Amino acid sequence: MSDDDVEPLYDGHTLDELAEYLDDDRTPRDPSIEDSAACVAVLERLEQLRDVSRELVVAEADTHRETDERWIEGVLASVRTTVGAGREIPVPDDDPASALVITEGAVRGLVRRLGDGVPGVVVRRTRLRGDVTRAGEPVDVEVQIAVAVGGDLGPVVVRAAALRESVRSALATHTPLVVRSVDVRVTGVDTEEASR
Amino acid sequence: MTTVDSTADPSLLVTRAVEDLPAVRRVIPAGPDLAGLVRDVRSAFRMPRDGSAARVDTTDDGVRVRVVVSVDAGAPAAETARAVRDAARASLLGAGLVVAEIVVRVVEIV
Repeated sequence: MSDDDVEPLYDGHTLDELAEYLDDDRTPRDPSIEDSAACVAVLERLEQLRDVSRELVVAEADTHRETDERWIEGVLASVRTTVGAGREIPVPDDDPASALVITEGAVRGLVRRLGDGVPGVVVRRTRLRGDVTRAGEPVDVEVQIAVAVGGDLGPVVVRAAALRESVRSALATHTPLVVRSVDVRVTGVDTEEASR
Repeated sequence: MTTVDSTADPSLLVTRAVEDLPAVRRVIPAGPDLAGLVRDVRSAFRMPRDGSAARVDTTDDGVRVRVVVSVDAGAPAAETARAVRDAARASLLGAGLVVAEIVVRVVEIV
C-alpha cells in the first residue's frame, strides 16, 4: 500500500467527513471538529479549494505563456468535482477488472438540476442517508428546498410532490441505489420572488 | 468520430475514444485526490496540457486506467459508465496494450 492509499485522519475525522460537515454549513456544531485546530485548518483549506478561481488558474496558465482555455476548464472541473465528490456509489458489474462508480456529488448535482425544472423551486441541500458505498443497502433521500409562492406557481405541496417523483425516477434511471424514501422538506419560502 | 494514431500516448487514445461516446459530455482530467488538493492546491496545475485527461499508468500486469467523466442525463449514467469502460478498453487493446484495471468515475450527470 502506498502512502496515497492511507486515508489521512484529522483528530479522528476523515476528509470526507469534514467536507460533508462543511456541506452542512458546519451545523449542527460538532465540538470534536470545531475544537480541533487540525480539523479547523482543514475546513479552511476546503473552503479555499471551493473558491479556486478562474483567475488563479489563468494566472498559472500565463506563467506557461499559453492560456489554454480547455486546460483551464479542465483544472476547474477537476477541482470542483473532487472537492464536492462525497462518497462513491459502486455500479454493479460483472467485470472483475473494472470498477465503475458514481459519486455522491454527481447525484446531488442531478437533484439540484431537477429542482431547477420545477417552477419556483431551488434545491438547497440533498442528503443521502445510508451506506451508499455498499450495493443493495437501503438509502433515504432528503431534499431541502426553498420555494417561491404566489402568482401562477401553484400550490407548494404539488410542486414538492412533483420534485419528489422526478428525484425518485432519476435515481432509479441513473444509479443502482435502493431508495427507501424520498423526503422533500421546504426550508425556505420566498414571497417576493413570484411578484417579480 | 475522432481518428487517433495508434502509436499515440495511451492517455490521449483513451480520452479521445471516450469523448466520442454520445452520452459523454466531457472527460475531466483525473487530477489529485482530495487529500492531495488539501495538501497543495497547485498540484491540480500539474495536469497535462496536451488534451489527454484519462490517467494511464503502466505496471507489470499491464496498464491501469482511470477515467473521470461528466455524462449526459439523457442516458442512464450506469450504462454510460459501462460504455466508457468498454471504449477505454477497446482503444488500448487496439494499440496492443494489456489492460489490468479500468476505473470509471462519473462525477457529473448533466
